[in-house]
Amino acid sequence: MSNRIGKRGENIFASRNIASKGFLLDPTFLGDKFQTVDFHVDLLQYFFKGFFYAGVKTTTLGYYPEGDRMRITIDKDEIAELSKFVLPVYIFGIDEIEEKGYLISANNLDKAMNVNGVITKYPVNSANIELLWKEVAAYWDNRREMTKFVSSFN
Amino acid sequence: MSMESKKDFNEWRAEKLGYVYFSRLAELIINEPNFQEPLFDYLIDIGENQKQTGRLFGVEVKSYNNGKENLNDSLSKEYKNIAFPALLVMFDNKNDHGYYKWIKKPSEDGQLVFDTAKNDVEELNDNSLNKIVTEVKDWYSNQHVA
Repeated sequence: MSNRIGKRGENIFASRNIASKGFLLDPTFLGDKFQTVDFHVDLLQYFFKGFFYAGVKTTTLGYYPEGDRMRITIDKDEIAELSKFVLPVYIFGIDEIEEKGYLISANNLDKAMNVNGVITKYPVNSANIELLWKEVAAYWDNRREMTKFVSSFN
Repeated sequence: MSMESKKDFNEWRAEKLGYVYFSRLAELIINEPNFQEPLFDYLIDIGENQKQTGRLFGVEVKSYNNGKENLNDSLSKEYKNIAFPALLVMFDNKNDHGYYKWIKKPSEDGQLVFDTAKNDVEELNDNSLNKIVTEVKDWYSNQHVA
Protein backbone atom coordinates (compact mmCIF):
# COMPACT_ATOMS: atom_id res chain seq x y z
CA MET A 1 0.00 0.00 0.00
CA SER A 2 1.39 3.41 -0.92
CA ASN A 3 2.06 6.08 1.68
CA ARG A 4 -0.52 8.28 -0.01
CA ILE A 5 -3.28 5.69 0.33
CA GLY A 6 -2.28 4.88 3.91
CA LYS A 7 -2.20 8.55 4.93
CA ARG A 8 -5.53 9.09 3.27
CA GLY A 9 -7.02 6.15 5.20
CA GLU A 10 -5.67 7.50 8.48
CA ASN A 11 -7.28 10.88 7.83
CA ILE A 12 -10.60 9.28 6.82
CA PHE A 13 -10.49 7.32 10.09
CA ALA A 14 -9.58 10.38 12.15
CA SER A 15 -12.38 12.46 10.62
CA ARG A 16 -15.01 9.88 11.60
CA ASN A 17 -14.74 10.48 15.34
CA ILE A 18 -18.01 12.34 15.65
CA ALA A 19 -21.35 11.05 16.95
CA SER A 20 -24.73 12.60 17.64
CA LYS A 21 -23.45 13.32 21.15
CA GLY A 22 -20.56 15.31 19.69
CA PHE A 23 -16.92 14.35 19.80
CA LEU A 24 -16.43 11.13 21.74
CA LEU A 25 -12.97 10.07 20.58
CA ASP A 26 -9.59 11.77 20.42
CA PRO A 27 -7.23 9.82 18.15
CA THR A 28 -3.48 10.40 18.28
CA PHE A 29 -1.35 8.96 15.51
CA LEU A 30 1.38 6.81 17.00
CA GLY A 31 3.85 7.02 14.13
CA ASP A 32 5.60 4.50 11.99
CA LYS A 33 7.56 2.90 14.84
CA PHE A 34 4.41 1.12 15.99
CA GLN A 35 4.01 -1.96 13.84
CA THR A 36 0.61 -3.27 14.84
CA VAL A 37 -1.49 -0.30 15.95
CA ASP A 38 -1.74 3.13 14.39
CA PHE A 39 -3.68 5.26 16.87
CA HIS A 40 -4.02 5.72 20.60
CA VAL A 41 -7.61 6.87 21.01
CA ASP A 42 -8.73 8.61 24.19
CA LEU A 43 -12.36 8.64 25.24
CA LEU A 44 -13.85 12.11 25.51
CA GLN A 45 -16.81 12.98 27.74
CA TYR A 46 -15.54 10.32 30.16
CA PHE A 47 -14.63 10.91 33.77
CA PHE A 48 -11.61 8.61 33.81
CA LYS A 49 -8.67 8.29 31.46
CA GLY A 50 -10.08 5.62 29.16
CA PHE A 51 -8.58 4.73 25.83
CA PHE A 52 -8.17 2.05 23.20
CA TYR A 53 -5.84 1.30 20.33
CA ALA A 54 -6.79 1.30 16.69
CA GLY A 55 -5.21 -0.26 13.65
CA VAL A 56 -6.24 1.29 10.34
CA LYS A 57 -6.23 -0.82 7.19
CA THR A 58 -7.02 0.97 3.95
CA THR A 59 -8.07 -0.66 0.72
CA THR A 60 -8.65 0.57 -2.80
CA LEU A 61 -10.00 -2.85 -3.80
CA GLY A 62 -13.51 -2.56 -2.41
CA TYR A 63 -15.50 -5.60 -1.32
CA TYR A 64 -15.89 -9.30 -1.96
CA PRO A 65 -18.86 -10.10 -4.23
CA GLU A 66 -21.24 -10.82 -1.35
CA GLY A 67 -20.57 -7.32 -0.04
CA ASP A 68 -20.21 -8.53 3.52
CA ARG A 69 -16.43 -8.18 3.69
CA MET A 70 -13.88 -5.63 2.55
CA ARG A 71 -10.90 -6.84 0.56
CA ILE A 72 -8.45 -6.47 3.43
CA THR A 73 -6.29 -9.38 4.59
CA ILE A 74 -4.71 -9.41 8.02
CA ASP A 75 -1.90 -11.86 8.41
CA LYS A 76 -2.04 -14.33 11.32
CA ASP A 77 1.35 -13.11 12.54
CA GLU A 78 -0.13 -9.64 12.91
CA ILE A 79 -3.19 -11.08 14.66
CA ALA A 80 -0.86 -12.89 17.04
CA GLU A 81 0.78 -9.56 17.87
CA LEU A 82 -2.61 -7.88 18.33
CA SER A 83 -3.80 -10.70 20.60
CA LYS A 84 -1.09 -9.76 23.11
CA PHE A 85 -3.06 -6.64 23.99
CA VAL A 86 -5.37 -7.06 26.96
CA LEU A 87 -6.61 -3.51 26.41
CA PRO A 88 -9.32 -2.81 23.81
CA VAL A 89 -8.00 -2.86 20.26
CA TYR A 90 -10.06 -2.34 17.14
CA ILE A 91 -9.29 -2.66 13.48
CA PHE A 92 -10.82 -0.06 11.22
CA GLY A 93 -11.12 -1.10 7.62
CA ILE A 94 -11.23 1.96 5.39
CA ASP A 95 -12.67 2.02 1.89
CA GLU A 96 -10.44 4.63 0.28
CA ILE A 97 -12.71 5.10 -2.72
CA GLU A 98 -16.00 5.54 -0.84
CA GLU A 99 -14.33 7.27 2.13
CA LYS A 100 -16.09 5.13 4.69
CA GLY A 101 -15.05 2.56 7.24
CA TYR A 102 -16.01 -0.54 9.19
CA LEU A 103 -14.74 -1.70 12.54
CA ILE A 104 -14.10 -4.99 14.27
CA SER A 105 -12.63 -5.88 17.60
CA ALA A 106 -9.10 -7.27 17.36
CA ASN A 107 -9.18 -8.78 20.84
CA ASN A 108 -11.08 -11.94 19.99
CA LEU A 109 -9.61 -12.87 16.62
CA ASP A 110 -8.29 -16.38 16.09
CA LYS A 111 -4.51 -15.98 16.02
CA ALA A 112 -4.08 -19.26 14.16
CA MET A 113 -5.78 -17.91 11.03
CA ASN A 114 -5.46 -15.02 8.63
CA VAL A 115 -8.43 -12.66 8.49
CA ASN A 116 -9.57 -12.77 4.90
CA GLY A 117 -11.75 -9.71 4.72
CA VAL A 118 -12.96 -7.19 7.29
CA ILE A 119 -16.68 -7.73 7.86
CA THR A 120 -19.01 -4.86 7.00
CA LYS A 121 -21.45 -5.55 9.83
CA TYR A 122 -20.31 -2.55 11.85
CA PRO A 123 -20.02 0.62 9.80
CA VAL A 124 -18.23 3.53 11.43
CA ASN A 125 -21.24 5.72 12.09
CA SER A 126 -22.69 7.69 14.95
CA ALA A 127 -24.51 4.71 16.51
CA ASN A 128 -21.49 2.39 16.43
CA ILE A 129 -19.11 5.10 17.66
CA GLU A 130 -21.42 5.50 20.66
CA LEU A 131 -21.58 1.71 21.22
CA LEU A 132 -17.80 1.47 20.97
CA TRP A 133 -17.43 4.33 23.43
CA LYS A 134 -19.79 2.58 25.87
CA GLU A 135 -18.03 -0.77 25.76
CA VAL A 136 -14.58 0.80 26.16
CA ALA A 137 -15.90 2.97 28.99
CA ALA A 138 -17.41 -0.16 30.60
CA TYR A 139 -14.03 -1.86 30.31
CA TRP A 140 -12.33 0.99 32.15
CA ASP A 141 -15.17 1.21 34.68
CA ASN A 142 -14.66 -2.45 35.57
CA ARG A 143 -11.03 -2.97 34.73
CA ARG A 144 -10.16 -4.32 38.18
CA GLU A 145 -12.47 -7.27 37.72
CA MET A 146 -11.86 -7.97 34.05
CA THR A 147 -8.84 -9.87 32.82
CA LYS A 148 -9.45 -9.49 29.12
CA PHE A 149 -11.51 -7.09 27.09
CA VAL A 150 -14.64 -8.58 25.51
CA SER A 151 -16.21 -6.74 22.60
CA SER A 152 -19.53 -7.02 20.81
CA PHE A 153 -17.89 -5.97 17.52
CA ASN A 154 -17.01 -9.49 16.41
CA MET B 1 -13.66 17.07 36.35
CA SER B 2 -13.35 15.86 32.80
CA MET B 3 -9.96 14.59 31.68
CA GLU B 4 -10.48 15.47 28.05
CA SER B 5 -7.97 17.58 26.19
CA LYS B 6 -8.42 21.23 25.35
CA LYS B 7 -7.97 21.04 21.63
CA ASP B 8 -10.64 22.50 19.41
CA PHE B 9 -12.18 19.42 17.85
CA ASN B 10 -14.19 21.36 15.30
CA GLU B 11 -10.99 22.87 13.89
CA TRP B 12 -9.06 19.63 14.23
CA ARG B 13 -11.72 17.63 12.42
CA ALA B 14 -12.02 20.26 9.70
CA GLU B 15 -8.29 19.83 9.04
CA LYS B 16 -8.71 16.08 8.69
CA LEU B 17 -11.60 16.56 6.28
CA GLY B 18 -9.46 19.01 4.33
CA TYR B 19 -6.82 16.34 3.91
CA VAL B 20 -9.47 13.78 2.88
CA TYR B 21 -10.85 16.12 0.22
CA PHE B 22 -7.56 17.24 -1.35
CA SER B 23 -6.04 13.75 -1.24
CA ARG B 24 -8.80 12.61 -3.60
CA LEU B 25 -6.61 13.91 -6.40
CA ALA B 26 -3.61 11.60 -6.70
CA GLU B 27 -1.45 14.28 -8.35
CA LEU B 28 -1.55 16.48 -5.25
CA ILE B 29 1.35 16.09 -2.82
CA ILE B 30 0.15 17.41 0.53
CA ASN B 31 2.67 18.82 2.97
CA GLU B 32 1.75 19.70 6.53
CA PRO B 33 4.05 22.44 7.86
CA ASN B 34 5.33 21.19 11.21
CA PHE B 35 6.40 24.49 12.74
CA GLN B 36 4.35 26.51 15.19
CA GLU B 37 1.54 28.66 13.82
CA PRO B 38 2.11 28.12 10.12
CA LEU B 39 0.23 30.41 7.76
CA PHE B 40 -1.38 27.40 6.12
CA ASP B 41 -2.51 24.01 7.32
CA TYR B 42 -1.47 22.48 4.04
CA LEU B 43 1.04 23.43 1.38
CA ILE B 44 0.04 21.44 -1.66
CA ASP B 45 2.28 20.73 -4.62
CA ILE B 46 0.67 19.79 -7.93
CA GLY B 47 3.00 16.91 -8.71
CA GLU B 48 3.76 14.87 -11.77
CA ASN B 49 4.40 11.12 -11.48
CA GLN B 50 4.42 11.49 -7.68
CA LYS B 51 7.23 14.04 -7.85
CA GLN B 52 7.02 17.64 -6.72
CA THR B 53 6.99 20.32 -9.41
CA GLY B 54 7.05 23.45 -7.25
CA ARG B 55 3.54 24.42 -8.31
CA LEU B 56 2.48 25.16 -4.75
CA PHE B 57 -0.73 26.50 -3.31
CA GLY B 58 -1.60 27.11 0.31
CA VAL B 59 -4.72 25.88 2.07
CA GLU B 60 -5.95 27.19 5.40
CA VAL B 61 -8.73 25.03 6.87
CA LYS B 62 -11.39 26.17 9.31
CA SER B 63 -14.68 24.85 10.61
CA TYR B 64 -17.72 26.45 9.04
CA ASN B 65 -20.32 28.10 11.21
CA ASN B 66 -23.24 28.83 8.88
CA GLY B 67 -21.48 31.82 7.45
CA LYS B 68 -21.38 33.54 10.83
CA GLU B 69 -17.61 33.64 10.97
CA ASN B 70 -16.03 36.90 9.99
CA LEU B 71 -13.79 35.94 7.10
CA ASN B 72 -11.91 39.19 7.23
CA ASP B 73 -10.87 38.55 10.80
CA SER B 74 -9.66 35.07 10.02
CA LEU B 75 -7.55 36.23 7.08
CA SER B 76 -4.38 37.60 8.52
CA LYS B 77 -2.73 40.60 6.90
CA GLU B 78 0.29 38.36 6.53
CA TYR B 79 -1.47 36.60 3.68
CA LYS B 80 -1.17 39.78 1.68
CA ASN B 81 2.49 39.10 0.94
CA ILE B 82 2.08 35.48 -0.07
CA ALA B 83 3.43 35.08 -3.59
CA PHE B 84 1.54 31.95 -4.61
CA PRO B 85 -2.13 30.94 -4.87
CA ALA B 86 -3.89 30.29 -1.59
CA LEU B 87 -7.38 29.51 -0.40
CA LEU B 88 -9.46 29.20 2.69
CA VAL B 89 -11.43 25.97 3.04
CA MET B 90 -14.24 25.49 5.54
CA PHE B 91 -16.12 22.39 6.66
CA ASP B 92 -19.48 22.16 8.33
CA ASN B 93 -19.04 19.46 10.95
CA LYS B 94 -22.78 18.89 11.07
CA ASN B 95 -22.94 17.53 7.54
CA ASP B 96 -19.31 17.44 6.30
CA HIS B 97 -20.10 19.91 3.50
CA GLY B 98 -17.05 21.84 2.36
CA TYR B 99 -16.77 25.43 1.15
CA TYR B 100 -13.89 27.50 -0.13
CA LYS B 101 -12.88 30.98 -1.03
CA TRP B 102 -9.68 32.26 -2.53
CA ILE B 103 -7.28 34.24 -0.39
CA LYS B 104 -4.84 34.79 -3.25
CA LYS B 105 -6.77 34.07 -6.41
CA PRO B 106 -4.76 33.27 -9.53
CA SER B 107 -5.97 35.36 -12.45
CA GLU B 108 -5.60 34.78 -16.15
CA ASP B 109 -3.21 37.71 -16.54
CA GLY B 110 -0.75 36.02 -14.20
CA GLN B 111 -1.56 38.22 -11.23
CA LEU B 112 -2.67 37.14 -7.77
CA VAL B 113 -5.73 38.89 -6.41
CA PHE B 114 -5.83 39.34 -2.65
CA ASP B 115 -9.49 38.61 -2.06
CA THR B 116 -11.05 39.23 1.34
CA ALA B 117 -14.61 39.89 0.21
CA LYS B 118 -17.25 38.49 2.51
CA ASN B 119 -19.89 35.90 1.75
CA ASP B 120 -18.55 34.69 -1.54
CA VAL B 121 -17.79 31.13 -0.54
CA GLU B 122 -18.33 28.36 -3.06
CA GLU B 123 -19.08 24.72 -2.47
CA LEU B 124 -16.07 22.41 -2.32
CA ASN B 125 -16.70 19.21 -4.25
CA ASP B 126 -14.92 17.08 -6.84
CA ASN B 127 -15.73 19.58 -9.61
CA SER B 128 -14.49 22.59 -7.70
CA LEU B 129 -11.38 20.69 -6.57
CA ASN B 130 -10.49 20.05 -10.19
CA LYS B 131 -11.29 23.68 -11.05
CA ILE B 132 -8.99 24.93 -8.29
CA VAL B 133 -6.13 22.73 -9.47
CA THR B 134 -6.65 23.80 -13.11
CA GLU B 135 -6.60 27.48 -12.14
CA VAL B 136 -3.39 27.01 -10.16
CA LYS B 137 -1.77 25.07 -13.01
CA ASP B 138 -2.74 27.77 -15.51
CA TRP B 139 -1.34 30.47 -13.26
CA TYR B 140 2.02 28.70 -13.01
CA SER B 141 2.02 28.17 -16.79
CA ASN B 142 1.53 31.91 -17.23
CA GLN B 143 4.46 32.57 -14.90
CA HIS B 144 6.73 30.47 -17.12
CA VAL B 145 5.54 32.32 -20.23
CA ALA B 146 6.20 35.67 -18.59
